[in-house]
Amino acid sequence: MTKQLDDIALRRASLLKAARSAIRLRHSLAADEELNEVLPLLETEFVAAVQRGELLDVRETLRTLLLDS
Amino acid sequence: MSAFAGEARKLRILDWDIENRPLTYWVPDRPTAQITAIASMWVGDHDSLRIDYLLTPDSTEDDERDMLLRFVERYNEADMVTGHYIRRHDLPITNAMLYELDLPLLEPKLSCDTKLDMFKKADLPATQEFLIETLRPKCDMGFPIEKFHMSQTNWRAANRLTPEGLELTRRRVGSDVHAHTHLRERMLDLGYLKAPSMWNPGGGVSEVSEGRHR
Repeated sequence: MTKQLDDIALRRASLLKAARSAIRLRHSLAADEELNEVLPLLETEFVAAVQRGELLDVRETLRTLLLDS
Repeated sequence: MSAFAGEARKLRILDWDIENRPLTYWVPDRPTAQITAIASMWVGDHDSLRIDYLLTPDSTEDDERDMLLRFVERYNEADMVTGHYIRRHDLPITNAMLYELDLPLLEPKLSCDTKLDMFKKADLPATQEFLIETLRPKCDMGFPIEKFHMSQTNWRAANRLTPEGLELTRRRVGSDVHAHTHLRERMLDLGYLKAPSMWNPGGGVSEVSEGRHR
């Protein structure tokens, strides 16, 4: 009986742990994909502004180029 | 204030150029240098073009110090400096003059070098003269954009510091800065320049440099 319960509890814990890992991985891969797309664009925008003599406001730039898009 | 919370602000970009002459033999094909002129202009402000340094036959070492410091004051106000080949020519030569004259070294500075920051290429010149002829930048104020050409005869007069030579140097250094500022604009429009990078004079923490003997 104890052995059976342990088996059930372990299985449950294992399932939840695996699900947690899977979901984290899925979002992490999606985040990586978005980061790889967005960061170079942000950097390009920032450098172009510096070359033209303007230092961008971080919050405003994030709002304009990231959050509102 | 954290960088995250900082508001947008204008950056001051200083476009500048030096002229220099050979002074002594050091090793074959490698004479020591002496600056003969420095011109600078804030990007976007034609009225700010000025020549801080012009070596004359009467210039003493103290005059050289004063002229250099006048330029350095402007350099220190800049968020970024720009010029053609400045990271391997103008910046280190100026730093060397400061060192020789026992003055504080240049501060580290963000720099945009229109020769060294240009896209990769081969078998084509990257001189300012060639770039101006090829890219044909325009001046929105209508001033002519020219690389004021100096013949060997002109250079010899300039480096002898004759009155005619000084006038040639003045024209050369001033027109170089004006032309460069528009050349850089054109290169930015065309996407030919990579991100600016920090130029560091080395020699430890230059912000606290006080000259060699103090």
